[in-house]
Amino acid sequence: MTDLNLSHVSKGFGGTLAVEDFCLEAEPGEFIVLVGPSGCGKTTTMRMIAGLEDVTAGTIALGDLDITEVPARDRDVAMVFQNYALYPHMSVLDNIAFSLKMRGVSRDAREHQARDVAELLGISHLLGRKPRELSGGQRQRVALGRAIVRQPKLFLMDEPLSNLDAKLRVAMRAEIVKLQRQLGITTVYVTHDQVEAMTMGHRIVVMKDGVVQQIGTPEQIYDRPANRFVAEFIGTPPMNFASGEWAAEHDELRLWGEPVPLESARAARLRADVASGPIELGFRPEHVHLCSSSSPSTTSAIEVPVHIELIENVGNSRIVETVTPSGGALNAICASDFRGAVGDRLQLRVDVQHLHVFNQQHARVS
Amino acid sequence: MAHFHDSIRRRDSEYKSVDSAGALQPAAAARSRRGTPVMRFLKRHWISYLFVLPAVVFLVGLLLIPIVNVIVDSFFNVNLLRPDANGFVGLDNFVRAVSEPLFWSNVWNGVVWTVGSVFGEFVVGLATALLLNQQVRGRALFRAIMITPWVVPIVVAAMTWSWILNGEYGILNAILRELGIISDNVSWLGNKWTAMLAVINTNVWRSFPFWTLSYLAVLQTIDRAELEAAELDGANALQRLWYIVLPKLKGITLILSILNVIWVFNNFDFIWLMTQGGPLNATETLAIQTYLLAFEQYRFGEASAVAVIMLLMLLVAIGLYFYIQRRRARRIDAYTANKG
Repeated sequence: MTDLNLSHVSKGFGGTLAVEDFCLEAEPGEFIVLVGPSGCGKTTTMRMIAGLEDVTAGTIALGDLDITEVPARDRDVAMVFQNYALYPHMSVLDNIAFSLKMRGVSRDAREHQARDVAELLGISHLLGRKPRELSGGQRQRVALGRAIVRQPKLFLMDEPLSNLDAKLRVAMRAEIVKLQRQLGITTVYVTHDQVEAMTMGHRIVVMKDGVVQQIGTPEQIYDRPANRFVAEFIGTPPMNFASGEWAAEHDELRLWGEPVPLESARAARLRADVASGPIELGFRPEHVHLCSSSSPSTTSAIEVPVHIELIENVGNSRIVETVTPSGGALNAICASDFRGAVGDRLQLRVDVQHLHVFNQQHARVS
Repeated sequence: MAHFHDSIRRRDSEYKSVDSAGALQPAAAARSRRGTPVMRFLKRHWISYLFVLPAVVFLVGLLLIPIVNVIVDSFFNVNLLRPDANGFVGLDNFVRAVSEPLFWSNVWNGVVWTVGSVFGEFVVGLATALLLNQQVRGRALFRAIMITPWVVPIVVAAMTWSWILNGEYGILNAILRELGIISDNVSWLGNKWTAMLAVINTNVWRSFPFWTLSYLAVLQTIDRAELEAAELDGANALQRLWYIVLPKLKGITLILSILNVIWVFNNFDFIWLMTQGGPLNATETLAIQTYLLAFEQYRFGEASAVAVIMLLMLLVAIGLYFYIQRRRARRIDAYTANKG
């Protein structure tokens, strides 16, 4: 059973397509995160689900109901806006109870419900205040309260944490996830922050230029990115890339001039999907080891000499920026006891099993 | 200029001598004890007063002196036809003005004229602002057209409407006859019952763009997300207008109302140009009466008394308005505090 179903949804503004052929089926209670750089169409997609934007092509269904043509106010969808969009002239209580008032709920009943929600969010003591008298985090809670008070079929959240400071953002992130799991309401969450995407979503939709790049669980997105864009966008620091050479006739893959040992299954996949010639290889910074040139090399790893350009201390680890003799920049995440210094010459070693191979069209092959 | 630098330097050093806890250091405290407080204040701020002096001179010359002059005159017998009888007469001018047979009907006409005009301007101004705030093609052109009445000089507006409303050859009569709404011409400005409506109409036509502009300026500051939030909360267009948009226009409406009550109540030119207070004094207001007393009968003392009465009436009306507003705000605050 699906709860939210977007089928071949497109949106054009004038001559340009902001969203192209978007398909998504969300199960009841699922937390879907739309992520991508600004201008990728994620917010437009959300606004189409909300009914704030017309759909150029395709259909949107909520439960069994096709809501493509249903006006926003009849969709039973609640949204948390980036700037909260609280009603400044109303008290917190009236803000939360507004949707109930519009639905004709009696004053007593709606105040009762609003108080319950305020208690859930820990803002009971703020009910009499106006939004301008609240801190950013408190406003955020009121915006959440306004969304959950009427138990909508669907939650939409448009970068709700982007106006909060870093510490509060992490706290609210966890709180929103807990709240969503507790209420079990299907949620679509838009963000450009890949950490939010990875930590919050049951599934992630990665978008670029209006086109879905990949839909999958955080693990799928991280471990098996569909293409180079996804691989680069998700993960900090981003995945390293290096050019290699593939010769299909010899089943030979070379990186930094050295042959990469291939399992037969992997070789078969490459033969089937990749034409001979230059290709891209990717590997994550945490799968890189920096070692002195004297240490013995292993058969399952491949090495390149590098020198250290910069070391960033992030507390529990060190992010080491290195450069190969040919000028390629490669990042490594090292343990906090890493003893190298800027300018040191070392060997950078990559485990072959963690190599991602991308074909000439930037799609991941293996 | 040397003085100027001096005074700045002196101020600087005084600031410096205040320590981190904000207490005056002994040296500064001793210096600040010199001279009376007023002298010290002037010594420190004389340059600021020099800069506002030109504005003060203009205000005193153009506003304060005439007002004081009128108030003084209202207690004297100032009659240009009988210069020999000048002198202090106490409240005589006021008593005589109030007992004029037309005084109370003029007060009533002034209230109708003011309330009718301001209400009409409010309704038309709000409606046009809401319309012009819509996303429509050619919006800039519509906006430009809507402003036109405001740039028309009052005398032109009054003349044009006098022709439109003319009882014999006015185009309004022609249109209404054509549509079959009236069978005989109506003398809009010559009829006791329609004259006031006609002048109010002209005033509203000329003045509403100021309201439109003011409302439009506020409407454009409204966050679109707020309206979208209300839409998703289930509010229809009318409810969004009522609960989200109109509350934001309260402040500007208050200001516009007060300004326009003052302007309209004191207005002289519209009525004078169109009806001169007629027919049968149906459109005569206190402003017209003041003019007639002063410049047709040369009874400046009584004219001043009527003008002072107008001033008092406006002060009372506006004071009352603020009082009610404040009391209402307090009541709402108390209500929300109780609820919270």
